[in-house]
Amino acid sequence: MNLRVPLTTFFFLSLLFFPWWVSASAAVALAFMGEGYEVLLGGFLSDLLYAAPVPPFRGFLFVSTAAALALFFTARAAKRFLIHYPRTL
Amino acid sequence: MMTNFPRRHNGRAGSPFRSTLVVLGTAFVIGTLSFFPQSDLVSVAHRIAYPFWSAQFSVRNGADTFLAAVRSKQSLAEENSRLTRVVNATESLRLENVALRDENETLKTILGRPTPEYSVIAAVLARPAVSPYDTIVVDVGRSAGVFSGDLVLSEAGVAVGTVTQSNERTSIVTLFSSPGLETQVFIGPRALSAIATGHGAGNFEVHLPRGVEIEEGDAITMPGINPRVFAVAEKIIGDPADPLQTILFKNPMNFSEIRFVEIVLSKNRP
Repeated sequence: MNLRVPLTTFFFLSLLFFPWWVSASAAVALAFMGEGYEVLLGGFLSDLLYAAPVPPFRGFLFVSTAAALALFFTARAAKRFLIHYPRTL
Repeated sequence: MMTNFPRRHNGRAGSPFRSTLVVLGTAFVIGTLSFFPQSDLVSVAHRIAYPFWSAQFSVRNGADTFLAAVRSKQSLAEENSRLTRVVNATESLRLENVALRDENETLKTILGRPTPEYSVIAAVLARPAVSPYDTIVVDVGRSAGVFSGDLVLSEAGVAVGTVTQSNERTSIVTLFSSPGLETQVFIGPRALSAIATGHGAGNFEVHLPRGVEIEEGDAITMPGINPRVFAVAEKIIGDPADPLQTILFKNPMNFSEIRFVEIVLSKNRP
C-alpha cells in the first residue's frame, strides 16, 4: 500500500494545524520510510510561516530547515545500517 | 523471490553525489535568503496558508457554538448563575477602572501629554505549540495599518508581544516570553526596574538583589506613559548563600487558548 501521499499530506497539514511535535514525528517517519526530501521542504515552510529572530539562535531564521537537514542526513546514514524498513512506502 | 530485508546498497541510502547536491542546494537557499530580505517569500507562504487557517478558525468557532447549543439546560443555568455572580463582583472594579482611566487621560491632557491610542482587534490564526518559535500569527497586516514593532495585547489588556513581521493580510507576533528574549519591566508597587528574560510559553525570570522586597502576586508592568500589565509574580526563590534572588512569573493567560489579540498601532492611525 502506498502511504507516501497521505503521510506527506498529513505532514504538511500538521505544519498548519497540529503542535510542532506532531509535525516532527511525521517528519521522522517520512525521513526513514521515504526519500525524505519533503522533510526539507516542510522545515523551510515552517520557518517561513513562524520564524522570528530570537537570541538563542542569534537571529538565525532557518532553525527548522537546519533541523530538517540534520534529520535528512541522519536518516540516510542510519538506513545503511538498518536491517528492516519498508522497501516502498 | 522478493527480498524483505534490504541491507545495503539498495539505492535508498542515496549516493554521495545526491547528498552533496542536497547540502549545497539547501546552503545556497539559506545563504541567499540570509543576505536578502525574505519578507516577500514569507508573504507568499502566508498567502497560501491563510485560507487553511481561516477555515480552521471558522470551524473552531462553529464547533464552540454548536457545543454550547447542545449542552444541557441545567448546566447552562448553573453556569449562568456563576457568571452572574462574577459579573456582579467585578462590575464595581470595572467602573472604578473606567473612572481612573478617564482621570488619568484628563490629567495627561492638562499636563500636555495626551496619549490617544488606536488599535485593531485580530484573530489568532496560529499559536504556540503549532508554532515552534513561541510566535503567534494574526489575521491583520499592513492593509490594517499593522507594522513591525507594534505592541500586542491580550483580550484582557496584558502585553504579550510585538509584531516582528507584517505582511499584507497577516502578521507574525513574537511573544515577550520567547526563550532568551529580554524585556525591560517594572516590578511591584514600587516599580523596581529589571530585565525579564523569557523562558517560553509565557514564563519569565528576573534576578534581583536579595534585599529587594517583593511578594508573590505583585504585578509586573511595562514602562511607559501608559503602563501595561505584563505578568504576575508567581514564585520567589532565594538562597542565603546567593546575593541574588530569582523571581519567576508568567503571563496571566494560557497562550494555547488565546483566540483574539489587540494590536496597538504605533503610528496612531485612526
